[in-house]
Amino acid sequence: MFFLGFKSFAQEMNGSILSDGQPLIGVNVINKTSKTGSLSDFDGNFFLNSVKPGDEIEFSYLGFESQTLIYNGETNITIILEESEEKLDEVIVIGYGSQIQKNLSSSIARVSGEEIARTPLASFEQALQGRAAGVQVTSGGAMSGSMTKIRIRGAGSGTGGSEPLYVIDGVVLESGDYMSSSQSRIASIGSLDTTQNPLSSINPNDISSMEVLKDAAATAIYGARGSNGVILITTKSGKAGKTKVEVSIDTGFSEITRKLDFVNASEYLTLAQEAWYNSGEDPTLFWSNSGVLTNGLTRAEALKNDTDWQNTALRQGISYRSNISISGGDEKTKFFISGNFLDEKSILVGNEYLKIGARSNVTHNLSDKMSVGANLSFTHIDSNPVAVQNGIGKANDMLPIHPVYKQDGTYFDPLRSPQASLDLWEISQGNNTFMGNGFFRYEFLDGLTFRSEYGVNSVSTEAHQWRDSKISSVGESTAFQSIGTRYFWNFKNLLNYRKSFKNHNFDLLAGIEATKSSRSQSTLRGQDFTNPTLKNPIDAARLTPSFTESSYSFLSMLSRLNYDFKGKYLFSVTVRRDGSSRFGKDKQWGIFPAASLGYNISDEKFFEGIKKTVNYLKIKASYGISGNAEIGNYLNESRYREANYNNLSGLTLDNIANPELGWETSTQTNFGVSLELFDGKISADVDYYTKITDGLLLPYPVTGLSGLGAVTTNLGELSNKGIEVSISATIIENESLSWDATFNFAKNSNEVTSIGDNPEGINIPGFGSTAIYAGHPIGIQTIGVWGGVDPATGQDLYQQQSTGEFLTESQAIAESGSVLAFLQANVVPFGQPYPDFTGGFSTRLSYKNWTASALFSFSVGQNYIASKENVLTKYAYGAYDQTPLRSQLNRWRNPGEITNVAQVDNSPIIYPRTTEQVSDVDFLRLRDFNINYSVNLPENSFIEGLDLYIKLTNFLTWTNAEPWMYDPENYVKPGNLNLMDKWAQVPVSKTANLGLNIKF
Amino acid sequence: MKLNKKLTMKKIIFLVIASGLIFTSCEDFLEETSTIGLSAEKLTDISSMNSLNAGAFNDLRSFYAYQPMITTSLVRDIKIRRSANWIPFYKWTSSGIPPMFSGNSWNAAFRALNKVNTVLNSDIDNMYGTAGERASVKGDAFFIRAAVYFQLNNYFTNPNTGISVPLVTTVLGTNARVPLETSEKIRTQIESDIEAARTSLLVKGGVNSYAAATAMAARIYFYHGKYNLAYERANEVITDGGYSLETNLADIYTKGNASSEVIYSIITNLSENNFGAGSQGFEQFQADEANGTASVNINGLIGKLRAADPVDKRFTDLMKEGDGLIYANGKYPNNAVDYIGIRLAEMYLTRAESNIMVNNSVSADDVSDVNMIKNRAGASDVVSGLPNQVAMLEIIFNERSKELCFEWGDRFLNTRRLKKDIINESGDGYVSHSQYNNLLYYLLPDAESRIQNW
Repeated sequence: MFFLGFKSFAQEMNGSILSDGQPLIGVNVINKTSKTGSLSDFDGNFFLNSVKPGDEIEFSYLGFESQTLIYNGETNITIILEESEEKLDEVIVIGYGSQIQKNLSSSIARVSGEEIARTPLASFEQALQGRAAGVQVTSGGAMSGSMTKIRIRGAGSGTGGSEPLYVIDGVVLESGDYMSSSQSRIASIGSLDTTQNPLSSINPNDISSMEVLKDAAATAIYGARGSNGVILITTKSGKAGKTKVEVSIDTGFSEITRKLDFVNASEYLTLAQEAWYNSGEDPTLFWSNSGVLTNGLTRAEALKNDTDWQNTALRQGISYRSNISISGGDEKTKFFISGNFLDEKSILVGNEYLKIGARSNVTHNLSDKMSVGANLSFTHIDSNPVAVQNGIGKANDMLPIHPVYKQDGTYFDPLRSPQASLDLWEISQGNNTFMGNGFFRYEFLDGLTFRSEYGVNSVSTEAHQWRDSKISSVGESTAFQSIGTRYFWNFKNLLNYRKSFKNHNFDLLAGIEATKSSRSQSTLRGQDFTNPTLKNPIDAARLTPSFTESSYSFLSMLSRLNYDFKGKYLFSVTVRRDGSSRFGKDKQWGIFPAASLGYNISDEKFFEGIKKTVNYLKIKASYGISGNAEIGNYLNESRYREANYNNLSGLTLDNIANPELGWETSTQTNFGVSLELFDGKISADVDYYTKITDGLLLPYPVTGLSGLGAVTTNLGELSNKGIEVSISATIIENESLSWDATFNFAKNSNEVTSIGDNPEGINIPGFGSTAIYAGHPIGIQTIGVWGGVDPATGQDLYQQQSTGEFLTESQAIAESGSVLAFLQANVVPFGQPYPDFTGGFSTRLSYKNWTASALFSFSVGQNYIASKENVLTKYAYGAYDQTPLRSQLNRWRNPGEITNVAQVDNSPIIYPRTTEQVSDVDFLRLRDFNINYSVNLPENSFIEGLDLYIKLTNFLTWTNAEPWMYDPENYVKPGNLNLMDKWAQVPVSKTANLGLNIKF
Repeated sequence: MKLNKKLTMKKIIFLVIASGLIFTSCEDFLEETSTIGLSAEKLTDISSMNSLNAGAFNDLRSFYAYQPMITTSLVRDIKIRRSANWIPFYKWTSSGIPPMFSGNSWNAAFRALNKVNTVLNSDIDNMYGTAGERASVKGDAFFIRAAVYFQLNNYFTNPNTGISVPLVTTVLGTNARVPLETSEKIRTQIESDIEAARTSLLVKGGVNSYAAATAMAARIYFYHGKYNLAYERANEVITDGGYSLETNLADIYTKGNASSEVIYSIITNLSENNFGAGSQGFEQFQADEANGTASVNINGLIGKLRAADPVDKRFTDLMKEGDGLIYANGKYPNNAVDYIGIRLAEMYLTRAESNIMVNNSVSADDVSDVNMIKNRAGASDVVSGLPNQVAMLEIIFNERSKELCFEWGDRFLNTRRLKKDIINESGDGYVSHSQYNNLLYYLLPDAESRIQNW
C-alpha cells in the first residue's frame, strides 16, 4: 500500500509550450529536482514522468527566456516562452552550429540584419565598417559593384589571399574577381579598376545576421581556410504565423566627396613658362617649341580655354532601389522569399549598374524527427564599369588650355583625352550567380541529430569590351568577349549530440566535408574592324582566342566539443584536419586544433554582493591554430605553358614546383572579458590577441637566371597584436524615448618578424618598390627620403643613407651620376600601410515616431604614397604636358625662399617615389546618418506599418589627407603587398537616399 | 510497422553517412592537376625541344622590342614629342638609362636562355629522330644563345670595369648563384656558340638558316674587332647565301621576313604576341602627330645627313614630312611588321669595312660594295675613285648610319665602336665618347644584383 501510495504521488506532467501563439519544438524540459528531462514535441507538447508536486521544472530554449515553475499537480499546462532580448541569451551562429552569447568562450562579433537593412550598400560586407571591432573595411570607391577589402585583425598573409572566408548559410562564397586574373590580363582590364565584386550578388536586406569569427577558437573549425577570419552570413527565415510582407523603395543621389585641386589655365601658363625659362630655354620660343600647342591648337585658342578635365569624367549619380520580402509559414513549413532591384548610375560618367535578385528560403518538417530545407538565391547583374585609369585618371593628362573638342568637332588629342576614352571605350559585364543549399536533418535520439547538406555556388560571367580605333595608338579598334563559369560545391555530413546530465552540458559535433571549385574562362580578342559599328570580336580581321581553367579541392574532417558546467565554466575544443589539392605533395594534410576556456564569474555565489552594479562578468581565453590556403592553384607543379612562334608550337617555363608548398599557419591567442553593468544598461567586451603567422607565403624573388622571376614559398613570420574594445550603453529607455550608443575601437600592430635567411629585407621584382622587411609591417615600399627644398638653390634635397646628410639634386648627381641612380641607391623601407587604430561610434535616438541614428567611423595612423596625380605634378612641364596641382604655385623662385615645392623646370620624370609624396590618411567620417519617421496609421488599416526615411552616407569627413587625394579611404589594390601606392586614384562618393518602407 | 519504418529510415541515414565517408576519404579527390600546359618531365623528345626553341624565339620578340627606340634615342636621331612614359631619351646621355627599359631585355634574355640551355643540355643525340632533325634543333638553340649574349654583352658591359653579365650555359635552379663574367669571356662563348650553330645548321636548317648564322657570325666578329673573320663570313653570305637587295627600299620593311634581302628576322604574329619591335616601332614612329611619339631630330646626325642629300630614297621613301615634323615611319609601316635582325645591305658594308681594316687600304671592291648600297638608294654622293682609308671609313660610317638607322641598334653600337661623338640636342657641339660611354650602358637589374650579391 505504501508502495502504491508513493507511486500515486509521482504523476505525469504534461502541457504545451507556445511562443507568439505558435508551438515551440524541442524545448528542454528539465525536472531540476529529480534531474530527469525531456523535450517538447512537434506540436509543442511535452510529457514528463514521475513528477512530484514541489519539483522544480525548468523550460529552456535557445534564444528564449527560460522559465521555471514549481509543479503543483496541474496537468495540461500552457507555458509561453518569450524571445529573449537579453544580449547574453542572443543566439550566435558559430561555424557548423550555434551557441548562446553567454556560453561563448571564443571571440565573435555580431552585426544583426536590422543594423544593415535599407542601408544603400554597394555590397553587404561594407556594413561591417565601424560596426564590428577589429574589422577593417576599405571599399573600392565610387564605381558601382566595386571590390571591398576586409582585414580581420590585421593582414595575416604575404601573397596568399587575405580576405576572410565568406560562408553564406553554410556555403562558401568565393570572393575576389569574377574573372580569372590571367584572363583579365588578356583583356587588359585588370589594372583599370573595373574589377567587379562577387559579394555584391548577396542582397543585404536578406541578411538576418553576420557573425565575424575572429580568434582561432572560432575559426579553427574552418581549418586551412580560417586564419583570415570567417564571416558567417545567415539569411532570413520565415516564422510561423501571419504572412508578413515588407516593401521598401528608395532613390539615392550621389556626388564626389572631393575633387582634386588642379591649376587653371592662366596658372598653368605661368608655371609652364617659368619652367621653360628655368630650363635654360629661350622664353620667346615657349609657344613654338615647348609642346603645349599640339593637335593644331593655336596660341589664341589656348589662351581662351580653361577646361576642368575632372568634369568630363564626373557627374551627379542617381540610384533607384526596391526590395520586397514575404515571409511566414505554419508549424510544418516556413518560408522567406524576397526580390530586389537596383538601378544605379554612379558619379563616374559611363558607369551604370543593374542588379536583380531573388531568394527563397524554405524549411519543412517531414515528421517530428525529420526536416528538410533549401535556400536558393539568384542574382543577375548587368554592369558597365568604366576604366577609371582612363577616365578621371586621365584628367591631368590634359592641360586646362586644351579644349575638349577641336573646332571641327573631333576630339582634341583623343589618345590622352578622358572624354574620348569615356565615349569610345565600352565595357560591360554581366554576371548570373546562383547559390543554393539543401539540407536533410534527422534526429536519431534525444539530442543526437544528423545533418547532411549540399551547397552550390555557380557563377557565369560574360564580359564585353570595345575600344574605338581613335583611342588606340596604333589606330586599330579592339574588342574582347569573355565567357566564364565558376562552379563550387560542398557536401557535408554532420553528427551533433547535445546532452545535459546533472549540471554538465555537452554539445559534440563531428563531421566530414568535401569541397571542390572549378572555373574556366575563354576570351576572344578581335582586332582591326572594317567598320566602326562592328563591335563583336568575331567580326574582326584578326582573332586571338585564349582559354584557362583551374580547379581545387578540399577534404576535411572536423570535430568540436562545447562543454559547460552549470553555464558557469565553459570549455570548448575544436580539431579540423584538412587536405587540399593546392598543397605540395609532401605537405598535403594539416591539422588545425584550438581550445578555449570561459568563466562566467558573475554566476558565482561570491559575486552576489556586487551584482547590482556588475550584473555580468565573463573572462575567456583561447588558443589555436588555423591556416590560410589561398595560395592559388597548381603552384605545386612544374609546368610549361604555350608560347607559340610563327605558328610553331612553343613552350615557356611557367612554374617550378615546390613540393613543400603549404598553407600559412596562424597561431592565435585571445584573452577576453565581457561584462555588463547596471542590469545590462552598459555592456562591454574587451579582447586582446596575438596572431603569429608563420610559413608566410611570399613571392620570393629568385634569380631570373632560372627563367622565372619569383616563386611562391612559405617563408617568414608575421605578427599581428592588438586589442579590441566595444562598449554599448542604453542611456534612456522609456515608453516614448529611447537613446542608445555603441562604441568600438581596435588597435592592431602588424610586423614582419622574420623573412627566413634574408637578414635585411626582400625587394619584390617588378615595377614599383614593393618590399618586405623584418621589423616593418607587410605591404611597405622602399623609397628615398626627401628633405624639403634647399632655400639657396631651390632644388629638392634627398638623404644619403650612408652619411645621413641631405644632398641637393646637383650634389646627388655628382655622387651617383643621376638623381635616379642616387635615389635607387638610397632607399629605406618606409610606410604604414595599416591604421594604428580604427573604430566606430554609433548612436540611435527614438522619440515617439521619430528615430535618428548616426554611425561615425574613424581610422588613424595609416599613410599613402603618391599617385599619378601627385608624382606627375612635379614633372608636369616640358614634354609631359601634365596639369599640375595647385600646390605647385608655392614653388621656389628666389634664393632664400623657404618653401616645400622645388623650382619648376623641364627635368625628366623620376618615377621612384620619395617621402615627399607621402600623405597621412587619418579620418573621422559620418558614414551613415539616418532619420526615420513612422507614420501613424488608422486602427483598421490594411497596412501594418509605414516608414519614411532619409539616409546620408559619407556626408561629413574630417581628414588630414593631402589635397592631392580624392579621399582618405583608398582601395589601393587587393592583397597585402605594395599597399600604399596606386597610379591613379579612384574617387569616392557621398550619397543621400530618400525612401519609404511599408509593412503589410 | 512504425518501428520498421523507423529502422529503415535509420538504415538509410547510416548508409548516407557511410557512403559519404567512403566518398570523401578517397585521396584521389585531392588530385587536381592543370589540364593546360605541359609538365616538366615530358620534355624528352625532339618535338618538345623544337617547342622550347620556338618559345625562345617568342621571347626574342620582347627582347628586341625596345631596341630600335632606345638605341635611336641614345644617338639622338629622334626627338620625343611628348610622352610621360617615353622620357626624352636624349637626356639619358647625362642621366643614364632608366632600369625600367633594360629590365625588359634582361628578363626576356634569361627566359630564352633557360629554354635553349634546356635544349642544349638534353640528351638530343639519343632522342628519336633523324640526324638532320637533331642538328637543326641544336643549331637554333646555339644561334639563339649567341644572339642573346651578343646583345647582352653589348649593352650590359660596364665600360669602366669590363665586367659583363653572368654566363649561363646550363639549366639553373631558383637558388643558383652565378658570378658576373668579363666581357672577354662572354665574347669567347658567343663566338663558340655561333660557330656551333653554323656547324649544326649546315647539316639542316631550323627556324634559322645556316646563312643567318653565318651573317650573325659576321656581325659578331665585326663588333669583336676580328675583321678577317668578319670579312670571311660576310663574304660567304653575299656570295653563297642566295640573298639579293630589294630594288624598292620600302619593300624590305613591308615584306619583312619574306624579303629577298632579309637574312635573320623575328617574325611578328599579332595573334601570338602583340608586343614586339613591330608594334613598338609603329606606335612610336608613325606619321601621326597625336598617336606617334618620335620624329627625326633635325639637329641629329640623321637629320643632317638628310639635309645633305635630300634625294636619297632612304629619306624620301622612308620618311615623311608633315605637321612641321619629319616622321621616320617608313621602316615600321604597320604594327605587324617583322623585326629585321640582319639584312644583306649590312653584309656589304661589313665586308667593305672589314676588308679595309684587314688590308689597311681601300680597294675597288670596297668602293663597289658601298656604291651598291648608295646606288640602290639613289644617293647623289656615289663614291668615285679610291678615297683614302680615313675618308672611306668616314663614308662607310655615314652609309651605315643612313642605311641601318631606326633598325636593330647598329647606329649606337657603331658610333660607340668608333668612339664617335654624339651631336648635341641643339645641333651645335658634341657629347664626347668619353662623356657618354660611362653612362650609356644598361645597369644590372637591381633585384637580381641583390639576389646574386653582385
